[in-house]
Amino acid sequence: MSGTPIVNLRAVCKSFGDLQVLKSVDLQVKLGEKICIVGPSGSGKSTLLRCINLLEEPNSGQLDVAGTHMDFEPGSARKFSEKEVNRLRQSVGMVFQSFNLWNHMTALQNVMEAPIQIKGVPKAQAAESAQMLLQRVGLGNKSSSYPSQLSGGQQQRVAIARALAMDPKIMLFDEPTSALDPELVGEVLDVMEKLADDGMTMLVVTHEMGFAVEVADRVIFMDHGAILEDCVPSSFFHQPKTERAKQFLARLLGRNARLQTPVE
Amino acid sequence: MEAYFDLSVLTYGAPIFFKGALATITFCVVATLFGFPLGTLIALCRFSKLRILRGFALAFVEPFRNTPFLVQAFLIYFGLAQLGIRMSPVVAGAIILTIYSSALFAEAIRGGILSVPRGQMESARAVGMPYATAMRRIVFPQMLGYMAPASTNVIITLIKDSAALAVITVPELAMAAQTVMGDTFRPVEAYLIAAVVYWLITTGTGAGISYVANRMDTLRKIRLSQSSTGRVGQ
Repeated sequence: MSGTPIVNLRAVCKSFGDLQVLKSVDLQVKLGEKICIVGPSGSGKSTLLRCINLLEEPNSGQLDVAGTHMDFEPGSARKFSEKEVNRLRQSVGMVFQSFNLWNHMTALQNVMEAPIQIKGVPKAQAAESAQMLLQRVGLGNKSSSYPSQLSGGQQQRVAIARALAMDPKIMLFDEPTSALDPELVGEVLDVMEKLADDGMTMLVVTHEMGFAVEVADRVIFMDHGAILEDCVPSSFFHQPKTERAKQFLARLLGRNARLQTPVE
Repeated sequence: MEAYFDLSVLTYGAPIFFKGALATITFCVVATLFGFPLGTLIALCRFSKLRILRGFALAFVEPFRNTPFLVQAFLIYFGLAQLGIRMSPVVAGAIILTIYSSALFAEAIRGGILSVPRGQMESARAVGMPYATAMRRIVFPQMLGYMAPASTNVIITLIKDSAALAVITVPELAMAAQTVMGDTFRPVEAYLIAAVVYWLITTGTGAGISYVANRMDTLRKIRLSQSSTGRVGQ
């Protein structure tokens, strides 16, 4: 199952006004790979993720995602249609830091909505699959709750189920546990770990180094819009090659050491 | 000096005021029923990627929002007549009030759309929903919840400003007051009665909308979720 590239970015650049957020980023993700993206805030991690499903449109570079190829040239009009973008997004699930569950719908409706609206799945069938997905994230008994009646951790698990409902080939996680109370982080990471065990291709922007060590095949370290390191977790955490990665880890580990929690 | 209220104006004018009030209500209902969807389209234009549409929407909304309805009614009715387009005052009045209402609703709806958190749209687009589907299924149902107070304002403004239609001889409530005054030579009584009737219509409308709003299922859910936004974070 591994070997085939599902995501291939070449020389992707993205600027917001004068600020260049991504500086010619290359990234290949093979089917089944689990990759954690780490780095200081403002380093372009989230933007990189958002370029993959085109929530942000790169200014230049090339992009291959789940069989869709797109070229971006500075200054020229986009050569692909809204339809292509939507099709690409259907094979890329995304989980947001702030969950973004649809507030006016129950957990079950949140999970059913996209298959019904986009794929035309019959309602009864969508409800059945949605219920199974909720069970898979441990929330089979919360199907009729509204987002406001769920804890942050529960909301995030529903959000994961919602993304899975479209049967994506790859899942993007944009700091999925950063908005959670510390005691709720574990339940979300558990679901993500199970997903990884099931063979899902995952790209996770996170500050949870324990998760990176346990689950990731590769860790990518970003700073100032560039990928500085791309290696297996053990070599990243034990022998970071760049000075900036060392500093980043020192800050992170230093803080954990103060809390007397041994890292890894 | 006559410092008393001549009750005979009330008994004489009752049927005239009643008809006028009914007309005012009808005009405002029509202007709301047509103005809301039109306003929705205009509000959507304001969010369009196309500059022309955004420009058109702004150019449409701004003059109606920033000039008195009285002046607009005059200009449109007599302006059209000068161009050879003649309509009965009733038809003209309904059209003018509808245009005005669509401009007011456009602003209220724009505000409603803006108050739906951005992440709602973003997560809909991220699963591959087309923009229109995301608007219809995700943004609109929530927007309605946020914009009940703004809609009430628009409708009450419509009710009050529709009085200006009297200048183009539309037989509504303000016109009724004018008629009764003419018949009885009692301006204070005539307009005092009109004022009370306007006040009853506006407060009744306001109470009606909040009654419906409180019972609308969607709204209940959104209110529930608003109480938790603190937890959701940035």
